[in-house]
Amino acid sequence: MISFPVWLLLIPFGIFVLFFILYSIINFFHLLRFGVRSKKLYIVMVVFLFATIWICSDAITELSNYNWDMIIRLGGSYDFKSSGLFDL
Amino acid sequence: MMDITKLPNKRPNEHLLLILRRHWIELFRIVAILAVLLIIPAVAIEMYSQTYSLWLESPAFGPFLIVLKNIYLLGLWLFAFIEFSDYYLDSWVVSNERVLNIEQHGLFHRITSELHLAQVEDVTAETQGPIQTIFNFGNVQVQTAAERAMFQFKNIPNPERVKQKILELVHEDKNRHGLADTE
Repeated sequence: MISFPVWLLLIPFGIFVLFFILYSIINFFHLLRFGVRSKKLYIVMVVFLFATIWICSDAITELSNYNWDMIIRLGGSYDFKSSGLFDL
Repeated sequence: MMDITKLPNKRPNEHLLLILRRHWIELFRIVAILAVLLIIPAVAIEMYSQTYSLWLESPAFGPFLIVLKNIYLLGLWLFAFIEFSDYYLDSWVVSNERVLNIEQHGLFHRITSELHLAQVEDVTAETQGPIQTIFNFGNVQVQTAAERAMFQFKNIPNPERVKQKILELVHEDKNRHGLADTE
């Protein structure tokens, strides 16, 4: 039986978020350095920032609803087979 | 940021005439892909809403599902932004003296080249297929005799008009520099 704390799931998420931030910064750098100055570009950058903040704040709100100290035991207490799971 | 009114290595009496970018349908393609990749899971969640709610309530599976969902959303969003940057950073600038070709390939590969109008030997406009015909966009190839023999303006709007404009500019430039053919 394998058991691990739920908070371990946050590690790959954190790694991905770091990757996202890094790539976004590089993208911003390219647009600011090489992009042609225009209102359209500023609007797109602002929209990207605001949508990113919205997705991240939504994620934080949803993730805060769970108890991250809980231990998952695969093959034990959290067997995911159950009847009617795919009933419409 | 590049101020397009200030060309690099600007010559005396040089002024900007055309700034070209790929047709807006390229942006529409990015938006369409994004929409499809958002709608499909949304529809699936809606169809299995009871099951999804059950899974979300699970103290073990719920966090996993939320993490997966947010990785997916952020990944899609980043993909769309990178594609937009690729679209936006590709541009072609035509002045009364030269043509500048600026191409972005991914995030870490950028090619900038220029050719002077006096070097241009041939300009070809190409519109292929019903979509390009209906929306009036296509490719323009600018041919020279130099080592890099050709510039290609990809998927630009009004390729015929652009071709005509460049040919006019080439003719004027050659007249100005005394390089025009005499018959």
